[in-house]
Amino acid sequence: MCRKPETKIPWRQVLWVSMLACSVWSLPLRANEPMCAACHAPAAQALASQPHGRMGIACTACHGDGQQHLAAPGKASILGFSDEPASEQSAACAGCHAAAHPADADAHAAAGIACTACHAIHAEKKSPLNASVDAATLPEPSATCARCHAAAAAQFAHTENHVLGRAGVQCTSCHDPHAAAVRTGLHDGFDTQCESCHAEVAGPFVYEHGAVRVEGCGACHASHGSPNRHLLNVQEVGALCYTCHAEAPQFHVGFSPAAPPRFGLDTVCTNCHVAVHGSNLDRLLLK
Amino acid sequence: MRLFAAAVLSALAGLAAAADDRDLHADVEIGYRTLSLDGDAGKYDQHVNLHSGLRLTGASLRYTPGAGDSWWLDELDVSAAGLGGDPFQDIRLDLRKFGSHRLRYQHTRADYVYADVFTDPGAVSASASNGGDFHHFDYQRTHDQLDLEVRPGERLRLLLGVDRYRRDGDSTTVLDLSREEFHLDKPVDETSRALHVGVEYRWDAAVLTLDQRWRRVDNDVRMQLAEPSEGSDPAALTRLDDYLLRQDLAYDSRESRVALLVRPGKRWDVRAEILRAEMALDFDTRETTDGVDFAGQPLPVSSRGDGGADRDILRLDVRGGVALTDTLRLEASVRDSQVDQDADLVLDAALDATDWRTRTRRFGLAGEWRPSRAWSLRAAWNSDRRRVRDRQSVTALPARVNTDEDGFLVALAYRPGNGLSVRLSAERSSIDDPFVLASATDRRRLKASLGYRWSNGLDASIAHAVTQRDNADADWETRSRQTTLRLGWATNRFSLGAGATLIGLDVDADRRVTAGSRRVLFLIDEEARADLYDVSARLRLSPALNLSGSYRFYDNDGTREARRRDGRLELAWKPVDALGLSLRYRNVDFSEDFERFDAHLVELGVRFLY
Repeated sequence: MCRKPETKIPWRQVLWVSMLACSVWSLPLRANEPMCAACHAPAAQALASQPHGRMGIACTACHGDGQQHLAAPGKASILGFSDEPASEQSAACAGCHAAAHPADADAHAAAGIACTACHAIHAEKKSPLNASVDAATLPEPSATCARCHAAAAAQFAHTENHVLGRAGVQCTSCHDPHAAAVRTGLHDGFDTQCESCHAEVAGPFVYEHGAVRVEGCGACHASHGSPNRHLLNVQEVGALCYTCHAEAPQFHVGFSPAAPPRFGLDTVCTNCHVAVHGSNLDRLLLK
Repeated sequence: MRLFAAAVLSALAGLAAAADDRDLHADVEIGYRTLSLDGDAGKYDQHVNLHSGLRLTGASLRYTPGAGDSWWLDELDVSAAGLGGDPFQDIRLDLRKFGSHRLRYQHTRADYVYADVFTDPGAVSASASNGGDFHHFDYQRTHDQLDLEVRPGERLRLLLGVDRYRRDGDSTTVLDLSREEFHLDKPVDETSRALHVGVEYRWDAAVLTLDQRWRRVDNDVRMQLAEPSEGSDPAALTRLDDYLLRQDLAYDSRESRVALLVRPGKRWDVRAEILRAEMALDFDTRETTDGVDFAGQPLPVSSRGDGGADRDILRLDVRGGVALTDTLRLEASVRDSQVDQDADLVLDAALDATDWRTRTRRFGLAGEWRPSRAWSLRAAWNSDRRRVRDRQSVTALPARVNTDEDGFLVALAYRPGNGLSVRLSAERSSIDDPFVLASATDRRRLKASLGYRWSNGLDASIAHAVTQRDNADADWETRSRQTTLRLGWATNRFSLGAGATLIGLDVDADRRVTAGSRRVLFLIDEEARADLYDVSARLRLSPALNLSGSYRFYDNDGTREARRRDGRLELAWKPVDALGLSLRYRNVDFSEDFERFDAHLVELGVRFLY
């Protein structure tokens, strides 16, 4: 086998081209409707500093034609993003944001959660209410997730946890909140989400640990948090390994049948099988 | 990195100088921290790792020119935190012209320390491997990300991202050699670089996305003996005078993705995506050994080899949805993915090779019925068929494992719109695969949640989930129960958040381990009871004075015990517009097995505002 990887990325050129490109493109701004602001001043004022307002997107682009509302003011005559079904609310967003966020098909939409439940279009909707264990101290976007996913957020309070909110680690580092509902698992023969930061244990290896490719990282690790070291599902490494490895060479329980077992539940298997995630040199993952 | 920092600083200086009538907010906070630590310093570094000294606690700059004032900028945000030696450092830049372009840069650095023992230090035995963890880590992860998004027109979006990730520092590991264990140094030296290019084009009823990503990872793996050693058992003959294992590896990967979203009408949408990823790994290895084995004979002096691995992934996803009526929607999805990997090693002219292939086909169906605005009922079913062909050595016959997984979900929600929210769900999945041992072959979960939000800012919720997982083949069972209660209240001057999470977990497994002619029964019976209580409050005493605090209580008992109390108090005073002072106190009281610490941190911060 002969492979000579030759990918060379021109980092400096990429950087300067990126900055230059930033200065080249722009779109003209469009004015917002002053008629809406006459009655909805706080909303219009808050919107002015937000992306939609800065882009000059008209109120009617999201809320629909206001003629009926002008004739008969009230919630019933306009899309107010409050009482309507989630699918109806999100459809208004999907008109522009369908590509990156097919929200009408994702897991949240399936649960009846509209885009506006997480995204504060007018800014003033943000609220610390229903805050989860760490929502008050978590940065966005994880704080938004924690408001509903209290159980998952609580797992990060374990002594061993995945440093959520620090060093750039967010819920969205691993989970795509806009992914389709039926993609239930992160694992699909390879754990892309884990591999992006933990390349050293993701392989490929000449000798793979079977659990990695059949069951994924989650077979041994509780990725949000765990009371056990290294985010393991079971504290004793031996107990975890024996879950699958019910057969072992004789010396794993002592050389002499009369002697007590040399290895027990409190054995740290990884003190010998150090390359537990995979090895390029040793089939028994010893180095 | 230096070029980029210089460019950013120059741009900021220019903006600040020209910011007479524009909206510019900047603040810098410098803090001095003192630490009083009683207990295990290694454990403290592992969990908190904040130390005494002067720090740039935080800095931020936000600049927004007036509407239409700038043809290239609508909003600029720059922030930094933890600079000057804290374990988590962060620099961010976000430059946006809405609807035109966005440039984001993020630099993070995180220290990772692990120096743990989890059994009585007096009982630790390397020869029996009975509890001490001889792996230690002390390294940094540095991550630089630059993303550029440009919209040349309303229909076209271009994406460019570059990424650099570095891991470097120290670690220790263990070498098992001739019935002995030796502690080795294993420096960490890994670099990953990635480039991402994407194009998105939108028609009235369709969106096409093309993504390409390249990545290169270099990892210089080295394990070496610091000094001659007799190993964990000095009475045994095995001795090591010198040892060095070098393994320089590099891999390249390329990932291509094409996605098409089509909306033939208001009621239909179909999304198809093809992903192709290729990885190629190359490595050279060299091992030199100087010592004697358990019989007193010289160990093999050296070995040399090289090898590599190729991994190919091809995945197709198709998903479609249709709203049959205004109240009923159906979805269906299909996934077909294949992972192929072959690898070889030539060590001292001896060849070994492995290969495996995984083919997965997944089907899903879901329906949602909304008879009224308040009620919704959703049901989903999915089926996953996985075929694994695995050959673990050139001399071994391939093994074939079939995994069939089926699952369903039913969820009922009631939201009448008056602040009340009720949700009930039940799900079950089962895996039919004799090789799946660590994962559950049967999983059942019931969840119920109830919430109410009052108009005066008060919010309360309770959720309870019961999950049962078992594996009939591996003979184990776990049951977990989690109850979460939350209360929140916010007014203009006061906010309060409080909650309790009670987690109960039982693991019950009888494992009979067969080793040669011996059979040993290990009874694995673990319990964990984790109670988490937290409260946080913020009070605005006056327009210039704020008091805030939080307290978190964590108790885990059962088979293993861990306890942590984390209390914080902060008084922030802003005597004049351009100056802020803050005094923070934090206490972390931690105990776990044989390790415990009690840390008191006091920090004084001076914040300059513009």
